[in-house]
Amino acid sequence: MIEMKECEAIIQKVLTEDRFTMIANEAQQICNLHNIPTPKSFITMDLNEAIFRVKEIGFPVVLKIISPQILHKSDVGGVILDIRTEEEFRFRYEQLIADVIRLEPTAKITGIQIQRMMPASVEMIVGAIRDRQFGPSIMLGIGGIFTEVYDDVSFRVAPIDRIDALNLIHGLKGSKILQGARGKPPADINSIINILVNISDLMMEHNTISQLDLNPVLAYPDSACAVDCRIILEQNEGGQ
Amino acid sequence: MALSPFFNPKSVAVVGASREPRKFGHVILKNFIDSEFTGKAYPVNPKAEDILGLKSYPNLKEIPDELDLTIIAVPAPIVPSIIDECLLENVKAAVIISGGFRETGEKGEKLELEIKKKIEGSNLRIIGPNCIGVYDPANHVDTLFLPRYRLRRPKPGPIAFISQSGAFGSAVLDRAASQDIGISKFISIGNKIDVDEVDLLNYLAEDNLTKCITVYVESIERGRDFLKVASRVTDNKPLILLKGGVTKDGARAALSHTGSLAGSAKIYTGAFEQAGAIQAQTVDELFDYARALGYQPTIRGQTSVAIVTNGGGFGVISTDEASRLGLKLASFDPKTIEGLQEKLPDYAIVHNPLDLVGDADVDRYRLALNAVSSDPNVGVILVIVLLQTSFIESDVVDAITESHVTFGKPTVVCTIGGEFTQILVKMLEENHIPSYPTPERAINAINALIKYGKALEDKDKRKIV
Repeated sequence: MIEMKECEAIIQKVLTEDRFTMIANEAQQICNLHNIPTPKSFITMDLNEAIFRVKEIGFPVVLKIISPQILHKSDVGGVILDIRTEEEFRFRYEQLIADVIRLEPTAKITGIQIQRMMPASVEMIVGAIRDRQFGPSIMLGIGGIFTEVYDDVSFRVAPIDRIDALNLIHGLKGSKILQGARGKPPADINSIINILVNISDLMMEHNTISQLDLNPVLAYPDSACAVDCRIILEQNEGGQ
Repeated sequence: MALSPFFNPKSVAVVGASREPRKFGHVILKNFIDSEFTGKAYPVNPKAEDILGLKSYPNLKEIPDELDLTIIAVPAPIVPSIIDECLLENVKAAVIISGGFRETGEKGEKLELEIKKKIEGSNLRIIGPNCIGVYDPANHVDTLFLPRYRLRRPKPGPIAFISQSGAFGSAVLDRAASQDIGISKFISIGNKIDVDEVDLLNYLAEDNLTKCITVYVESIERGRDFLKVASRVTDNKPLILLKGGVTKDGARAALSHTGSLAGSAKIYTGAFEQAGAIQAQTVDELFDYARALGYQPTIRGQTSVAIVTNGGGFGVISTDEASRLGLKLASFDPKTIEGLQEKLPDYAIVHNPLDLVGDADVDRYRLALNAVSSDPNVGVILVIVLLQTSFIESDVVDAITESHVTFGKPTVVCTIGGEFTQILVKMLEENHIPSYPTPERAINAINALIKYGKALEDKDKRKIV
């Protein structure tokens, strides 16, 4: 219940700032409070602090721009992957800020997120929306950035239990890939089920959350990790 | 229950009854006479003395009887005043056949809202408007305004059918009648001003004559209520849904990946699966699945398919389709194979699919069916029987039925052909063995049986947790 209060505090803060899209660290915090694993990360605006703290996380890392105005970070050069040395880190940090300012001059940069770069694995997408007829609904898809192309997604209406979550996974045409294709070890289905059930609980607890994306969720043999979180709040609170 | 006056009324008024044979009100009144309705039917028409030999009344008030059901077939603008009469006379249920409401625009929508307001807090329940109403062969209730010589009425049977569209519903009913498929209740719900699919599922869940429920919907407004009642229905009865209108709900799409991937059709699919219901993708599938699930026992645990055929090609196509759907073909027990080798001619192919070859007669089928039915490695049987050969007689129907009854294994048949075949298909239908004209449709029907079995297993698992 403490988690619930903390989440509501984050949501309220965003709403009082007249925003409906959470910035990455806010969304990540909410996920962590609901036991959804995310990569180690921190946020700063100070290059010196960044260089000092990046060692805690360990290379390789990812840099991500944080700005309430930027929803699709990669479109404006706001994500740089796989930085392996301190020297490269310095250079990329400056480059990231310069690119974003050039491509999106009106955006207010509120921070840079430094995140541990997770090893490549099967990419899933976990999402949630509030459907007009069915209310909060949970989505699972496969294919990372190609999800839209494959259109291999399936839905359940929240709340879901572990059996629903397992059926969601088996409902995907590509679910075989989780059993370990091409000699790779199978993914840990239980970790994916945990994320799905936790997202369902999250949607049931916070009715101000309208849409949510965990994309990608990387599935490993012993765990799963939500690399990027996006949360969008209801805009028509109280009706329009 | 609140909806029983729609299906089992003791007295019915037809408002808009007419002497003109092509008018809806005339056809509906005639239905009640022709179907030997055991209650009382009262025509209401201020301009007529008597219609079809029945005394006509100027309004509901003049009818010297309590009214269970009123069928309304008058122009839309007059309907609200008829509803006022219904409320004054404490009528329990009304079917509004008339069109000219929400489907025509703002003016019609206003009329609907007006009626909705009137019945708020009252006991009057309404089906429609813009619908063809109710057909209940067991109770001889028939509000369909389509003449019986045009739309044949199906006989009583185990399958209930709810349709949002009246035209779709009547076409499917007509075809069901021609295939000798029995219907427990048909309800066309139209604009769903009051009674909707959720209410009807609730009612049909308790209806003893209904063993299996089919639904054609375009939209479900009360999604969460639907999910709840559908999950309850599937505890005891299979539920098959065909969802029309697969458009994306664009409004929320842009902001998230999930939004753009959603589209309401996928959420419907998810909700159906979650409820343990089976989704049909085509009109054929709706009743293909209903006949399998309504007639045959569910497949639990052992789901492997045995195929028995007298035509090699159909066996191959069935195997292909089964593998495409991820179904398991049974590997026969060594004892089964031994027994079959002993008794079948040596040119028969004694593995799965079991090919009895073109000269197979009924005895060979009987032998093969008894063998695979008693094999523990077999969960469900597809019998392919091509009746064009001169070796097969119509008692193959008895052989199939007997082995099904004796061993209790779910059985479906695939057969295709002309008049001789059609006679046997109807005999099988009579014995509640569903038959399909192509191997693909037969295998898909088996897949529906397996899916429902899996849904029941999930329910059992939940009970343990």
